[in-house]
Amino acid sequence: MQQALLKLEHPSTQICCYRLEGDWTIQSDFPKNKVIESALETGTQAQTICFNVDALTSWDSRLLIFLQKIIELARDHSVELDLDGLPSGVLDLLKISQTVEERFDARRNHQHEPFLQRLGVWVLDIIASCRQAMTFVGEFVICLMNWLRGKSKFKAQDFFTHLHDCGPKAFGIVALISVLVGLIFAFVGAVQLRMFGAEIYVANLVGLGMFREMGAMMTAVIMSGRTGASYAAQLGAMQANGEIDALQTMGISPMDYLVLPRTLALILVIPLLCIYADLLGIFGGFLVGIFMLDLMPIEYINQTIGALSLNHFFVGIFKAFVFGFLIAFAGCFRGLHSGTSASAVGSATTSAVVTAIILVVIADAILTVIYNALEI
Amino acid sequence: MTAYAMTEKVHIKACHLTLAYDDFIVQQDLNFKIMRGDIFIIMGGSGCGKSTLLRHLIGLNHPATGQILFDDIDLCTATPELRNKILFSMGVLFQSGALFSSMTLAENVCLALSASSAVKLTLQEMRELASFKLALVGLKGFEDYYPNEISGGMRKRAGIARAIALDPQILFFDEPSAGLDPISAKLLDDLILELRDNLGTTIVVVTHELASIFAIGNHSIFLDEESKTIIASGNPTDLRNHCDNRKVQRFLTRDLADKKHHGSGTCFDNDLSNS
Ligand SMILES: Nc1ncnc2c1ncn2[C@@H]1O[C@H](COP(=O)(O)OP(=O)(O)OP(=O)(O)O)[C@@H](O)[C@H]1O
Ligand SMILES: [Mg+2]
Repeated sequence: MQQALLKLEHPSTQICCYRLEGDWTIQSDFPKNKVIESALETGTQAQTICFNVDALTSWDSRLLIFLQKIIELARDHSVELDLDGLPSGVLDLLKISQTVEERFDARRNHQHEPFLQRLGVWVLDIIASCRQAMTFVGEFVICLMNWLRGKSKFKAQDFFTHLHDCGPKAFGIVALISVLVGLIFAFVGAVQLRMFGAEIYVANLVGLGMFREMGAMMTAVIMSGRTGASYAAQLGAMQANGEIDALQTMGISPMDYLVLPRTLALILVIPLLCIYADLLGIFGGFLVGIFMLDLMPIEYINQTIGALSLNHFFVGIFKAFVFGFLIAFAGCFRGLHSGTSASAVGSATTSAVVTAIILVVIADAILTVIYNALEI
Repeated sequence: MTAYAMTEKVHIKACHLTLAYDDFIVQQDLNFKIMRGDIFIIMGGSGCGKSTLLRHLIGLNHPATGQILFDDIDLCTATPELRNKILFSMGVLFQSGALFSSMTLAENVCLALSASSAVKLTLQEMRELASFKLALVGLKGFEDYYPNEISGGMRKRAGIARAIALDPQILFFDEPSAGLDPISAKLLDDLILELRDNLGTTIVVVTHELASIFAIGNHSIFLDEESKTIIASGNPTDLRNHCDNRKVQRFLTRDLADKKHHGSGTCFDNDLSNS
């Protein structure tokens, strides 16, 4: 590649002639910006600009964008342009690029918005998304009613697929996390209780903790990351592909067809996973009790059974049920309202998980207060 | 015809190519040569494997058997550096556009420029180049739009702008004029001819658009779904005037009734009229 060179010739005072030499391609070295600018500056002083390409060895779009700049400058300074010296292909390509008039209304202006305006837009966005969420919940309730009255249908096959995805496939991770949480619980408790010689109460601590709180909570956190994210990504990708629009034009409501089976699957599965997590958590505590605190297995089991009642069990199950709904809501809502680009689907997924976890924690706090007031 | 179109140098050569997805054979025993500066048309009914052939040519899929040679280099066995060099010398328009949805049109076009280390452009120049390429396809002023904010035909054209960003030596267009109005389609044909004439680009086009097949193509192959191979090849106009194959005739004349043409056709003699 030869270097591209730009030289000025002045055949007369009125005429400015640009002499282009070397390779004017995107791969070749190019004159410094300063050189070009000063050359263009000189050109605007003249009456006519012309070109000499005798020493031009090759060219591509590099030359074209340079010429386009000159053409614009010449127009602005009403300098006459003599393009005859240029290769004919250059002129043809320039002509094609100018055939379609620029749509000036299309161009976007990047104005810096003042702080108050941005704040206002932000608040309005939040209000709008709250309204959307309300609408979504409302639509879901209507859709659920219709389903209960047998008016809306979804593919049973879909429902079972989702059931399988969020149930049995999550057994491994739920087991791992719950056993570890039970272990940690027992461990932390044991250190404290040992000071009073009350090691046996580790069984109460772990049993109550898992049943009332941690079983449901840990399952919910796992399912937010696993299932909530996957719902948001699936629906977001469908939205980006225009599949949701296609469903709507066929008269199929995305709510019936996509959201309902997913939500039902999740709220059905989560309480079951919660029981599973409860038992495995207690098993974790049991391990600590037997191997670290040297308790008798039967002693530990009896203590656990004595500490728990059906009330505690249902407290946790009800929580799990509520969490399941919230996770499905967050996933489906964010997915359906995702933008249509790849990164929008990504942020829909992220915000689905964040929303789900926030909602779960808030709901947990509220439920705990209510249980307390009701003395359950 | 221009100097470029007549240089008899083989640019891409396919030898005994079999295209398959796992066990499903799409096309087999394909042999053809694409000369430098050719505008090479791939024709055939829907679903016969045109896009599949294109995917193989650009190295996304590997042939089940046979070879594809770019100037005697096989993309599948080339060293990574050589492979990259060849890839940078080609531009591709996918049938679906495949624009990056989270980038503006200008960024889409600039991406290829900034990826290539051979390109010596400043950021400002890249931006100007992107505007120019968009102007070539009639999208001046839409630099800052995202792909989901423009129409289907505009998306197609933006895809073309991205394909020609690097002034590549080889261009692959999968149905460039699908979804375009006649005027835009004509402008696109002009653009393709200009690119070939001025930059010597070899252009491989998959298209059903009869008008543009005859206007721009100087060589073509016709893929058949039933016999899974090339049933005719040659200059499209010659094929229309002289080819005896019924399928090719029907395709090129848009006529379901049979017309008998006699003459020295360039098409192969495995006529399927008795099938
Ligand atoms: N990813 C894939 N996996 C398996 N089979 C595929 C895949 N993509 C395409 N096929 C099959 O290969 C065949 C050819 O498809 P291809 O997309 O190449 O058709 P085409 O000639 O481009 O059609 P059109 O003109 O409609 O675009 C079809 O039968 C299709 O079912
Ligand atoms: Mg195709």
